[in-house]
Amino acid sequence: MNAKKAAAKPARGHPRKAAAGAKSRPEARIASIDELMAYAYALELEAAERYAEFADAMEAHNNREVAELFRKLARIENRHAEQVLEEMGWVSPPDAPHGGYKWEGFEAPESGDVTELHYLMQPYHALQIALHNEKRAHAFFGSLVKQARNAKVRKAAQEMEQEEAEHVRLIEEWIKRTPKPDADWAIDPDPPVLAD
Amino acid sequence: MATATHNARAGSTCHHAANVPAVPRLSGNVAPGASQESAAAGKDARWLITGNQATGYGAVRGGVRFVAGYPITPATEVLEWLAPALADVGGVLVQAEDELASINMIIGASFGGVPSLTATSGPGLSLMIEALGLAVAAEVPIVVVDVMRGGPSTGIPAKSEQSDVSIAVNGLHGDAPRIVVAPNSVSDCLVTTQWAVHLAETLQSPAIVLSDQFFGQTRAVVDRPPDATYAGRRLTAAPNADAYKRYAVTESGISPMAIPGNPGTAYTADGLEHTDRGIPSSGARDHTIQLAKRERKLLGHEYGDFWADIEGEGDIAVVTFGSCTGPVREARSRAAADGVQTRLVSMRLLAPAQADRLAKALAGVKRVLVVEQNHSGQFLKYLRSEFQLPGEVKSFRRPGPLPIRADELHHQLVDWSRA
Amino acid sequence: MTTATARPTVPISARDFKSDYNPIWCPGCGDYSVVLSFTRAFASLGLRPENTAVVSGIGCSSRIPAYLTSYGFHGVHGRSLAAAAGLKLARPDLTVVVASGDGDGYSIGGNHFMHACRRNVDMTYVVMDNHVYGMTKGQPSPTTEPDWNSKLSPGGTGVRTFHPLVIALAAGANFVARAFSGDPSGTANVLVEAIKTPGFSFVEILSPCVTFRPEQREWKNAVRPAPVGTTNDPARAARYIMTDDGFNLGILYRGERAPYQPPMGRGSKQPADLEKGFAI
Repeated sequence: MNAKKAAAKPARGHPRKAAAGAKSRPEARIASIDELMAYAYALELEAAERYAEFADAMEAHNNREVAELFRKLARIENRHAEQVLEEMGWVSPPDAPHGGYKWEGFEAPESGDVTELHYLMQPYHALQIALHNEKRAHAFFGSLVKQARNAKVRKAAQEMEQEEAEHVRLIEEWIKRTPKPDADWAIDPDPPVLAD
Repeated sequence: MATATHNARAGSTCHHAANVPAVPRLSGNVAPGASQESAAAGKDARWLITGNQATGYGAVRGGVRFVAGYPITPATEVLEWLAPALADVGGVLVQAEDELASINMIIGASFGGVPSLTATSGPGLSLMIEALGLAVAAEVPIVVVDVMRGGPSTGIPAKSEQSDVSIAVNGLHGDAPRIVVAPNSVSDCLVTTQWAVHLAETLQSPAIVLSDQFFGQTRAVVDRPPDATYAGRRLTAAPNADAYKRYAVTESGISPMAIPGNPGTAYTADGLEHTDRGIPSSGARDHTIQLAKRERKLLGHEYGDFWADIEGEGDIAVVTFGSCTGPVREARSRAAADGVQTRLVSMRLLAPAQADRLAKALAGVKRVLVVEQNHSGQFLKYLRSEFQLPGEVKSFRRPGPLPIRADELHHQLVDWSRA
Repeated sequence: MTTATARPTVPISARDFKSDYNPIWCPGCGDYSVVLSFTRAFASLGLRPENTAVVSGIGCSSRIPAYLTSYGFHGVHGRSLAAAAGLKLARPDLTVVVASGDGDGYSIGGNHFMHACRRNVDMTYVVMDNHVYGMTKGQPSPTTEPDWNSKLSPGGTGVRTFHPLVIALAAGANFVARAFSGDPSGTANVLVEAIKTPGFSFVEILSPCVTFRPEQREWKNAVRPAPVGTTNDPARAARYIMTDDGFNLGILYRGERAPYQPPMGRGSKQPADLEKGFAI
C-alpha cells in the first residue's frame, strides 16, 4: 500500500531520467525571495487542494474517518499557505512565474499522488502519504538551498527547509500515536457495487 | 474558416453558425413556410410527389434542420431528397457510417437545440432501438422515420409490409413510452411527419413515423396537401434560471430544456435514471417519479382530431392504419354502393394509445374488421392490449409483398354484413 | 442610441469548471487527475461553461461530464463520438470534447472511432485508457495484454492489443497525442493544444485503475516524454508510432487537414420554395 519506490531498470539505450517527467531544475531559475515564496505558496495550496479532493473521495466511499483526517491535513496546509502570505505581506496570492511552476516531478512536491489512495485505507496509510509529501517538500527546499544563487535566497530556502523538517517531525509523532492496520485491512467481504 | 486561436473561439472553426440555427426557437405555432401562400403553387395546385419526398418536406416544414442517415431500401430517397433541400434552407445532412451513428448523431444535434430526424427501414430501426431509449430517458426530441418493408431481418427489402408495429410500440427495453404515428396516404406523409416533429419537440420525446415502401416509392399525383400549423416548439429554459432542474417534475411532465449556450443552466443529460436535477440515481423514489413524469408527459397531451381519420356510419367498422387505408376506403365505397354502410377508423397516432377516443369512435359498432399487412396480426394484438374493441372482431391480414386489395375487402365487408 | 454592451465577463478559473458533485470513482483512480486537467485546460483557453460541452459514453471515465460545470451528455455505450459529431455539426459555436475509455472507445466504439478520425469534425477525443473494463469489474479491454488473466478470459484473451494511436493516424485524425493522468499539468497542456487544433484531435490519457490493475501504480515510473518531437508528416509519425511502446508522452502528430464541412447551401431558401419541385 505504501508508495512504491521501486526504480524501473533503465531500458537499454534509453537514458534514465532522475524522476519520471523530470523537467529542468527549478532552482536555476529562482533568483529572488519573492519567487521562492511564490513556489512555497503554490506548494502548500496545491497540497491543501489535493487533500480536500482526497477527503471528498473518501467521503464518497463512506470512509469517514480517513475523510476527516484528510480534511484536517487540508486545513493545516491552508494555514501554511496563509502563513506564507502573512510573512510576505501579500494581500492576494502571487502570480505564477512566467511559463508556470517548474517542479522536479509532475506536480508540486507536497501534493499527494491520487493513485496511492484505497477506499479501505486507514488513518495510518493517510499519514504515510502525508509523511512522504512532507519529506519531498523538505528535499525540495534542500535542493533549493544547494542551488541558491544568492545568500538571501539561500537563507530563505533554509528557513523553509527547516519548516518542512518540523512538519515531517509532527507527522512522525502523529503516526506514532496512530494504530497500525491489520494485515487483512484491504479485504472486503462485501465489495462495493457500482455499474452502468 | 478561422484558424483556432487560444481564446474563447477555440474549437469553433467550422462553417458559419448562421446557416444552422444556433438556438432555434421557432416562434409561434406557425410552421415555417406553411401559412404563407406559396408563390410557386396556388392553393389548388397539383403535385407529383412520392411518399418519401413528402416525408422529407414534412420534416423541413416541421422545423427539422439536422439529419444524419444511412442508406437503406426503401428509405434512401427520404435522405436523398433532404440532402440538397436542407442545405437550401440552412440545415445540415450528414451521411453516417451506420444506423447506430445516425441515431446518436441526431440525438446529439437535438441536445444542441436543433430539431433532428433520420429515416430508415426495419433493420435500421432495430439497430436504433437502444438509442431511442436514450432519447426517452434523457428526454431528447428526435424523429425516426421507418419506411417499412418485408421482414423479419433482411426480409423482402423492396416490397411493402406493415410488420414493424410491434417493434415501434413495444421494442424498447424498460418502461419507455414514445410517440408512434402512421401516415395514411402519399400526401399524408407530409403532414404526419410534420406533426411528428411537432409532437417530438413539444413533448421532448422520440417519435417514430411508420411509413412504408408502398407510400415511400409510389409517385402519385395529389392535391397540394393542406397547410398545417404544426411546428416544433420546444419548451426551453431561460438564461440563468434559478437553481435550474433539467428534469423538474411539472404537472404536464414537460420540463424546460436548457440548450447549450444558455448561461447558468448547464446540466448533463443522462440515460441513467436521475433526480430532477439530472444527477444519476438508483433510488426507488427518483425512478418512480421520473417514470411517472415521462409517462404523464405523453398521456396528458391533447393530440386533437388528427389522431385518426374517422369516416362514415354503420355497425361494421374497419380499423386500420397506413397504406391499407386507401384500399379500405375504396372497398367501403363499393360496399356502400351495395347498401352496406361501414365506419372507418384510420389511426394516425398509434402510441400513446387513444383508448377513449377509439371507444367513442366505435360507439354503437357491433363488428370490427381490423385490416393490416402483416402475418401475425401485430396491429390487432396492439389494439387488444391497449384498447377496447366492441362486439365481434375479425382480422383481415396478409404479409407482403402483395398489397391488400379493395376488391378483397369489399367482399369481406359485404359477406360479413350478411352473415 | 444606446446599444447594450456585454458586461465584461469575469475569467473562469479552473475551480469554476469543477462541479459540486463528488466523483464516484474508486479512491486512487487516475481519472480524478484527468478532471483536474480538463478544468485547467478549459480555464487556460478562456472557455465558458455554457459554450463547452463534454460528451461521453458508458464506463468509469464516461462519468466525467457531471463533474464539470460545462454542458454534458452521458449517452449510451460506444456512441459518444456520434453524439458529439451531431452536436458539433448542429452547433459549430460550441467547444465539444468527447470523453471515453478503452472499452467504450476502442471496443464497441471502434467503428465510430475510425470514422470520426476519417470525417475530421472539429472536436477533441479524450480516451482514458487503463487497459481494463473497470466499471464492469475487471474484464480485458482491447488494450489489455493478451496474457492478462481474468474471470471472463481465464489465461488471457490471446488476442493482440489494439493500437489506438496507429489506428487514429491511419484513419486520418489531425492530431494524435498521448498523455498521463499522473501529470495533470502536462496533460492539460496537451488538451489545450488538442482543442486549439482544428479538426479531429485524439488524446489518449493513460489513467491507472488501481482497483483492477493495481500494478498500474508503476506507470508513473514507466512513462517518459517521447524522444521525438511533433511531426506533421503522417509517414514519419506512422513509422514512430508503429514501434512506440505505449509509454511515450507528447503530441506525436499534428496535421493540417481542414475540419469537416458538411455541404452547405447558402441557406437562402424558405421551406415553401421547395414546393416548386413538386408542382405540375
